[in-house]
Amino acid sequence: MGKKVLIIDDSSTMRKIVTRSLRQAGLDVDQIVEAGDGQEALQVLAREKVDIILSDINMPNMDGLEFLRQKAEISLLKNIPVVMITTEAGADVIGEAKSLGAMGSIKKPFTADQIQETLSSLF
Amino acid sequence: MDYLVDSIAAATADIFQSMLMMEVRALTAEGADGFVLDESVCAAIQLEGLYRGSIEVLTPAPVALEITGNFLGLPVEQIDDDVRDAIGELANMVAGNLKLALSEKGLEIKLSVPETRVLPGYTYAPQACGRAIIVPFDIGKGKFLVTLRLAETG
Repeated sequence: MGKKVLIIDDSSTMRKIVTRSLRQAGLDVDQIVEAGDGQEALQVLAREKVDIILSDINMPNMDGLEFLRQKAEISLLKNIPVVMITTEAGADVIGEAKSLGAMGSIKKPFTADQIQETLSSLF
Repeated sequence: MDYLVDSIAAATADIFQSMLMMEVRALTAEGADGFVLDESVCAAIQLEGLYRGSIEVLTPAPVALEITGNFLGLPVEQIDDDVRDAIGELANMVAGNLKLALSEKGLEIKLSVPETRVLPGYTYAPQACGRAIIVPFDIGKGKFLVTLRLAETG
């Protein structure tokens, strides 16, 4: 059975690009849900069960790092794997995301091959 | 400042090749002298930290539509929220790469979220651009500009 993926990014364009890249990468995606920031993502997660979360870092209202902090405090959510998809490539920011529970990161811009390489172990 | 021009050129090329599957060529500042933009889409990101300033991507409408269509994988025929968002995301990725280049020189900056607007006519004249770094690009079907303004804080 395919995975249900939550994509969190304030750019609707980027959410569509990630969606397309997941399919081009041949990953077993059954359904995709979207959120425009961390706050909206928590609201989505309160009503929908997902298998994998892909999240930007720089977003208004609630950024990706704060989302990770709050997700870690919710027992039903804390074990859902999160991979950051972000323009932030600095070691300190990515290091902080990993210390907050992110499993890895993909730097924008990315190719479908890079998506496949980073995410295949989660599918 | 050559490394800034090179960073902008490299970041833009990377985005176009990996995500847009489009050819793009960086021009010299003089190579686009007199370049006229009628209605255009401008996405700006503010930079803060030891240095302050902005990075802007300025695309004439036909180029904005072409870029957006390639991002989305379907034709786009008018300037709408998708186009504004796409050009904003283009600026976001260029700025992110620039941030990394500056960080490698020990210059840490923070980026704002993109702000996008539609502008009326504009004629590019490199001699009038002051201390801004401007890199024109050509995608074959038209040109666009990436502008960096950077000044030391305080």
